[in-house]
Amino acid sequence: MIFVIVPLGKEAKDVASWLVRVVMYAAGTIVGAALMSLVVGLAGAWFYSILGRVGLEASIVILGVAALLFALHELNIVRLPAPQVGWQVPASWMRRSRLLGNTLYGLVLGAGVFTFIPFASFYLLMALEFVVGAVDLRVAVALGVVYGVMRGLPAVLGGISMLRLQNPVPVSDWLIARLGLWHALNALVLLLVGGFFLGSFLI
Amino acid sequence: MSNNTLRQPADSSYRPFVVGLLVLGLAMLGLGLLLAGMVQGMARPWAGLGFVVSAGLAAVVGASKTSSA
Repeated sequence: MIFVIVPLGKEAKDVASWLVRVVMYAAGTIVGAALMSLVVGLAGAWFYSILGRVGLEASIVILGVAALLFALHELNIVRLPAPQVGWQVPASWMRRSRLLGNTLYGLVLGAGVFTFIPFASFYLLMALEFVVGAVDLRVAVALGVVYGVMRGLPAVLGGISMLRLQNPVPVSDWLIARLGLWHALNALVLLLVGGFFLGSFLI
Repeated sequence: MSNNTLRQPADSSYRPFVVGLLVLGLAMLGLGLLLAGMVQGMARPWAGLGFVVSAGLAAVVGASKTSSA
């Protein structure tokens, strides 16, 4: 995705144009993620208004158990179902206007649920936003914004490396070639989250 | 028919990675428990340490998804 946003070859000379597109893509990922977390948080608020506070506390224990199970899934120790739409953003969005296409890419990829979900930790993040939304919608949206910023950041970093006349391809290749390491990192963070939520119940 | 693959020594180059991951995993689980001990009552992902831990997850998921597409 980085190279759809970051221009290569002759186009790289038109710095102002792609800078605007990078900014719009990154803004799109943040807005898309924020909107999705708002929807999920609102659903959680509605759900727990029916279930009450007891349901909320039980949910934190369930989140802890789910985090540990997802960590095992990331480590390929257990296999859990991973429902997903698996849609790919169409290249045709770029034909009419590259600026509009990049912004739409950002919005859809930022929302996260419409495309592939290769990491089980994404499901836990959605569940967290659902539970948190019941208490404070602003915090649910803040979690979405953190996700959106990190989703858009690589395109910005790719752009900066182009500005410094460095080829971003090796960095992108390095990231993609180490998919196993990303899964391991996700597993480690899930273990931390699981230990935190379950620990607070047990201690 | 001989099966040479059975006679070859097993590839053990992944072992340090697995052991390291296991140790790191236990350390993260322990850190989670330690942080939980610093919170009064049930962990609250909407406040203080709970939010920091949850935001860490959000950051890792966001960066990870970019590595796959």
